Amino acid sequence: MADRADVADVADQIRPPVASTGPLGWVRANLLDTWYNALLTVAVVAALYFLVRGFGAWALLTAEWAVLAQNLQVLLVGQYPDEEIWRAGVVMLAIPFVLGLGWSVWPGFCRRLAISLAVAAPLLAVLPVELASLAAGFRVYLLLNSVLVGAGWLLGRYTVLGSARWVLATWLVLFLGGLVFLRGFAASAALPFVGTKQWGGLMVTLLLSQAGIVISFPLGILFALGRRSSMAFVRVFCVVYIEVLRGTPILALLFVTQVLLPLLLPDWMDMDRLTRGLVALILNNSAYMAENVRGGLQSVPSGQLEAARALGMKVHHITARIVLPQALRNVLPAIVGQFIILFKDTAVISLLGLLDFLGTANAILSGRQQWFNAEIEMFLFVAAVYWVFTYAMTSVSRAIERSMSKGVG
Amino acid sequence: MAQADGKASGQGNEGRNGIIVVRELHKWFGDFHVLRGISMEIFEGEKMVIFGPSGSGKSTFIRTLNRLEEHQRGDIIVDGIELSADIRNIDAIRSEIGMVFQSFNLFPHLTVIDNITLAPMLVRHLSKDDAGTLAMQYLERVGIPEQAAKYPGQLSGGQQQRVAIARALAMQPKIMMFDEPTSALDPEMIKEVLDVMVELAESGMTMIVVTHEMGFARQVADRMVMFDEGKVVEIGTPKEVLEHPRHERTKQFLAQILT
Repeated sequence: MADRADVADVADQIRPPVASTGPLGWVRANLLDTWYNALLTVAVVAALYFLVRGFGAWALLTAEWAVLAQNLQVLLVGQYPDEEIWRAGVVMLAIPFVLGLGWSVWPGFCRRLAISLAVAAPLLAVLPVELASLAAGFRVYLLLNSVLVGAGWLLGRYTVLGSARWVLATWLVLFLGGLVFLRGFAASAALPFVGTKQWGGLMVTLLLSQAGIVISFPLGILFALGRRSSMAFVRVFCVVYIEVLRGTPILALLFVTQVLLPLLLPDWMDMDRLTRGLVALILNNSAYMAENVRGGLQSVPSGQLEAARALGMKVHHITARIVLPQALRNVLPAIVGQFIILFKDTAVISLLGLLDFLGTANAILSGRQQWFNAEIEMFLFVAAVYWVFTYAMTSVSRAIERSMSKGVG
Repeated sequence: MAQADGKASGQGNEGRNGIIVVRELHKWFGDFHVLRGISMEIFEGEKMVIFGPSGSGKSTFIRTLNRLEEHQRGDIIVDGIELSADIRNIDAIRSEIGMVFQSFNLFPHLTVIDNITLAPMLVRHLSKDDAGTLAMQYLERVGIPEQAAKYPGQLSGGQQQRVAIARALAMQPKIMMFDEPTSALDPEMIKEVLDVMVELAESGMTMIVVTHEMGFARQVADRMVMFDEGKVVEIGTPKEVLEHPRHERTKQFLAQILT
């Protein structure tokens, strides 16, 4: 018996073999293990060196970053009138506030984003670059972002606002209220009317993509459900909607809505060009969204429906409480992917001469001879800003997946 | 077949109204004739065990009783309500029958307690607190109140099936149906589920159980029914069916599963 106990003790102490031998060992094992791998490593390192050196030299010595510094306001909000610019500033502050609220409710995936913003904004504020006309005020404004992230977090932590439902509601109210606030009223002295013709820049891109997501996501769910409906009329309508719109290039849709909507809709529903562009984006995206959601619906096992039916639950309860939560979870990466596509697709409206972020950048470049040669600087900046937003969205999506895999085994 | 006249009294089943009455039930899947004229009466408080080879229609039969499957001919009457296409009747019948499935079918996105409270809140319109109290009572009855806050995926198969039983019971049904409740379980977990079912049987619940657990049947069943090819081959007390089967098919089948 004593022998056995000894054996057990020894067995307990056995550890898995150590896999790593430090960074040098890692380099030897992965980069230099054969002669051709070594050659490849040297070649790649050399290429990276020249690339970084070349880019660094250009970025620091040759590039004319003034095009960005001097046009920052236009890039952010377009031709929004100077005396009303504070309205755009106030509306954009909803972003840090809602992020802060979200942080208090979903620490898993909103915290990093909220903290990144709260840290990045003051860093930008102390950047030793002349930011044209808005220098001092703009720096204070950036600091306000961090303050609002904190305020949102505190409010979420200690008041009723700290629940998923309230955060979403707050976001929706701030978003819709923001639209009204930006637009103003024809008869108002405090908030004079500013038409969407004067909106532009990153603000328009963010508003368009938010509106697109808020509208096309539920529409997509409805069409996906309709496609499975037992009523033939509903089913056929949904199938036709989805297939036609998925089979149409978004650019064609864009032209169609610009030309056709004014003819089809009664006068009182007349839309400005920006809204017509939004309609095209929504038509296209809701069809794709419907297909993503349909994939999710198919992934819910029939046993789930049977269990819910056997419990006497009604169809709308089964759909809302049993089927959709599981379906949307199962295709969350595809759905966020579609959000990202929508965000990037908003840039196509610039082809109609509408001034979203990319359209504004183009307009600046062709507007004055001074900037004719600043294309690289401008487009690098535009690409970087798009990337920051899409990266934030993917990282949120990944964090949600991680947090869900904990709960559902 | 007992005709319903409803006036008789006494211990026996004769003359009593069955809580479930099935007459000449037929069902087809496409051209395949799954149920070929089933007639049966199940009485209040009775425990009925249904067994038979796979594909014999036993699962389909109990699934027609709460309309998970539609039947094409014949009558089903549950507690005086005739099962028809009328959605109100279907809902009424479903709220009288609790069902437990082979594959548990717990809702994976909800915690154990939420799995149990959901239907009482939505269907019976209980408040969240009342539903929660009720759910904890049933979780204690099936012996796992400490698992209330976990998700189904974190439980063993036996625990999941016990949650499924608690979930069905929380709707306070008059009848409980079990569709091979232990077939998907590892052997060492079968007993914990059967124990709960035995306790439930002793409490007087009307139960219809599709199972091949003959020990359970012998202990609990009032009557046993052997299904084959969509028909009732043999029906009787466990003693009659297990020890003195009258039909060759029953003998063959029992010989196969009892060895």
